[in-house]
Amino acid sequence: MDEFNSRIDAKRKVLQIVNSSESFTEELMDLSSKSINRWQLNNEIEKDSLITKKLRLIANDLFFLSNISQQQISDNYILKSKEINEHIRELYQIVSQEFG
Amino acid sequence: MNHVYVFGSLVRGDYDNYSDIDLLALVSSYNEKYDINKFSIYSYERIKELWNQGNPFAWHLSIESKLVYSSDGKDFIAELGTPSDYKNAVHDCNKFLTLYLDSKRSLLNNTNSVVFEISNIFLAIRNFSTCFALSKGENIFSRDSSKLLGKNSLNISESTYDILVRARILSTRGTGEILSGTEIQKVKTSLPHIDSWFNSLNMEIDNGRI
Repeated sequence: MDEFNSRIDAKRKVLQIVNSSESFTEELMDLSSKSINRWQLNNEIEKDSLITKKLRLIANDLFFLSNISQQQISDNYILKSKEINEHIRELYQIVSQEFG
Repeated sequence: MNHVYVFGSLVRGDYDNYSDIDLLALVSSYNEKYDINKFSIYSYERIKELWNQGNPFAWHLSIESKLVYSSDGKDFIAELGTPSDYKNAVHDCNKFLTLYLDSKRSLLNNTNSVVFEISNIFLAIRNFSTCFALSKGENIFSRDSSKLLGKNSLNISESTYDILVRARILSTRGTGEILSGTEIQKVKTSLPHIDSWFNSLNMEIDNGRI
């Protein structure tokens, strides 16, 4: 799969995990900073909550991957992709335990 | 070293209520004064790479950007000259077609992330159109690129198109009213029409006309 489509897929997984919880009245619509801000505000989530921090971390990592250059791609890309998968697993646990 | 450019609708002259002010920062190393939420931030190395690949974003910048700050008095982008010929149209169009098909599938399977998927559908349509046009030597970088393809333009109702745009703005800027059930259904109803449009443009690609 193309890296662009893989990054969208990772984003889709994150959103599906968050939006599977019935604790939130408004869906998370993207991982853009403004979208996370809106979701956090409209669902009355604490700014420093674990879930918000985790979402911002994943968003930053995906942004990093989208800007990485060809020379850096092999090692850094694989490493960062693994980190993102780990963050997604942790996000799933947070949502299950705190918002399940 | 760093350079700042404004690009997109403001430079093109079709800035409207839906438009963002697009800012590009070129940096040689991490620079905390450039907020990733306000700037597209690229290293000089990455920009040169995009130029060499003839990437659509390189073409966009080469045609529709304006220098607003330079730490060395030079216009880095102007000095890069014209990007290489655009050769990745088939690959890029396929990438955005995949995006469309994935999001369509998810939407029809009653995803819990409706706005995200509709926003992706808009992104796929827009970027596919831009890549398709660029491969034919036409520079169409507008948000409404799919409406500017002449006989190949996407022909869906204005009201449906507006729903796609709203979803995109909701997801990227976090502003606007959430889509209603009726609006979501309207998008779903238009999917066969959008399928036909993708198929028709893909046929041109397969026929080697681009």
